[in-house]
Amino acid sequence: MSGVLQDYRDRSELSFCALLEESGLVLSWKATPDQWQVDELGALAAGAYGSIQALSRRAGETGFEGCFQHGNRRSLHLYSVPPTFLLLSIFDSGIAPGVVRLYAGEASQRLQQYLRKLTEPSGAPEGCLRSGDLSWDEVEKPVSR
Amino acid sequence: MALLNHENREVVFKVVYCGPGLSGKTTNLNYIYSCIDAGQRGDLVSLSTSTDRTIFFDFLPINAVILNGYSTKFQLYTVPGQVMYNATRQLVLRGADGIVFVADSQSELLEENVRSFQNMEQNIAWNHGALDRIPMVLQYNKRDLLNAAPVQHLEYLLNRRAQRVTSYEAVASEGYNVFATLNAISQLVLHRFYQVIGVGEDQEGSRVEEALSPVAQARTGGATAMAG
Repeated sequence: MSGVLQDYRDRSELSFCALLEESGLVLSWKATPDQWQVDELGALAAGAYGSIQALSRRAGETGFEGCFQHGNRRSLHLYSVPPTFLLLSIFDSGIAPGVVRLYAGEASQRLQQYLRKLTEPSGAPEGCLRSGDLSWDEVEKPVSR
Repeated sequence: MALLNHENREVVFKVVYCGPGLSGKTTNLNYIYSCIDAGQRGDLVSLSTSTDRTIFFDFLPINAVILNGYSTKFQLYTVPGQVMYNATRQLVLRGADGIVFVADSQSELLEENVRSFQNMEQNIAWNHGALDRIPMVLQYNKRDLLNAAPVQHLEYLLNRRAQRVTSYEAVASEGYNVFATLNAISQLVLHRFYQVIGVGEDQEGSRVEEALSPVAQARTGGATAMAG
């Protein structure tokens, strides 16, 4: 998961990217050395994504992949990682949003495959899991990075 | 359900403060924010109107101590209490590990409390959850007001499910029982977490105490402030 995010960040030249759950919990993130308030970003991103998705439904849309905010200094991109995850990207406004969108789509696919493996019963307890998926003994195993 | 993050070695819990508009949910978070040492918490994020009514949510992350090599974090949220913001409440309730229902004790608002409670239950169901499976604490706020209804009335209206929950009388604006409420919900959430991952009861008690020590320290500070 970490590798997928790092690769996505490098290729898209992002300042920050994070995989988070719809509830706002951040599973993993990669960033430039700037100070980022990761918890706050997660909460706000999940709220923003959920709101725009709800608006979209009310406008009659059935599908919703994500949303984009073009800033003067930095832009934001939120992209769906089904079934319940999101990819938050923050990047300099000089970077073409199309590039970010393209690589976000690829990263989303790779992350979906990885997350699917994790939630399978035989999946190794590496990366991020719901607490119900493993025991405390497994939690205490050394983490491979 | 809590999130175990092996990469960052964290266990993260989401606790949501619910209740009718102006019942004191944001006041609870403001008080917690003011009492906890800056190193043990993040910034308080408030998305509110110009009149300080919560429009989306308030958010306050709190760090607890290391637990078996994993740092524990509690993320506290409030929902907007006003009826028209139901879609937002549904979003904020997603993935909640624990709920604090902040009721307004004023006699004339009893019905509003009940409506808000029912709405919360519906929203949890909308998120494919069930209130009986989520740890919850009730807080009867504004006990200092002259028109506060007897606690028995509030208990009868809000705490008569098959399994009764812990309830606190509180005055959030003065900090009275704000940390008692937080401590109670944190303990319930951790107990639930240990149940899920299968830790024995003998180990569980000490670990819960250990994880809650920053909360306990802050509570002591809060109690001192009250006495003063």
